[in-house]
Amino acid sequence: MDNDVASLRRERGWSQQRLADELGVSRRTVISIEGRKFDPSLPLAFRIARVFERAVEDIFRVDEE
Amino acid sequence: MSERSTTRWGRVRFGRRRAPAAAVAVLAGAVLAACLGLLGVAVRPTEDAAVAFGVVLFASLSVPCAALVWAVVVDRATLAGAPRDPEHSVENDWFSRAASGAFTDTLTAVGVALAVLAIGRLSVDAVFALAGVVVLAAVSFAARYAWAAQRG
Repeated sequence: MDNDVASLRRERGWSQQRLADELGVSRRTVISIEGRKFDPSLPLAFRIARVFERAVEDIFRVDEE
Repeated sequence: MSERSTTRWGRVRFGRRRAPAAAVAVLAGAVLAACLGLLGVAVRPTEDAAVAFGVVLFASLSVPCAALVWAVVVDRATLAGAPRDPEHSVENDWFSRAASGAFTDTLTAVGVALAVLAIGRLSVDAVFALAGVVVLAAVSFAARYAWAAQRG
C-alpha cells in the first residue's frame, strides 16, 4: 500500500521516533510503514490520519500494481 | 504517564506501591532457581556430588529464572521507550508470521518423521523426539523472526 507518511512527517519536521511516540508504536514500525513494507492495522491508520489531521484515504492509497 | 516515572527496567506494582522490577526479578529468580536446584538434587538419579549438582543447577537457572520473572511481573507502562500499543507495531506482525511459519514447519517435519518411522517400523525415545520437536520449533521461529526483521 502506497502512503505519504514520510512526506507528512518531514513537513512537520518530526523525527521517526517522534512520530512513533505520537502513535504509541515502535520506531521500526514507522520505518516499515514509510518503506511500504508494513501495512498498518485499521486503528493505527486512523491514528496516523488523526495525527496528521487528514483523512485516511488522503494518506493511504491501494497500490494498483 | 510522565517520562520521569519510567525506567530502563521498569517497576512492579504492588497495589499502590511500586518496586524496581529488576530487584524483584533478581530476588524472585534466585528463590525460584534455588527451589529448582533443590528439586533437581532430590530427583537426580545418583547420589554423587549432590551439593555440586545443586549449585550448578542454581547457577545455570538463576539468570533464566530472573528473566522469566521480570517478563511476567514488569509493568510495561513504566518501561522507558516501550510503545503504548505493541500489538499495532511491526514487531507483532513479525511475531505472528514467525509463529505461523514455525507451526507449519513443525507440523510438516513431525508428519514426515512419523511417516518414516511408521514405514520403517522404527522407534525413537520419547524424550529425544519431544526435545527434537521443541528445538525445531524454536529454531524455526527464531530464524523466521530474524528473516522478517531483516526484510523490515
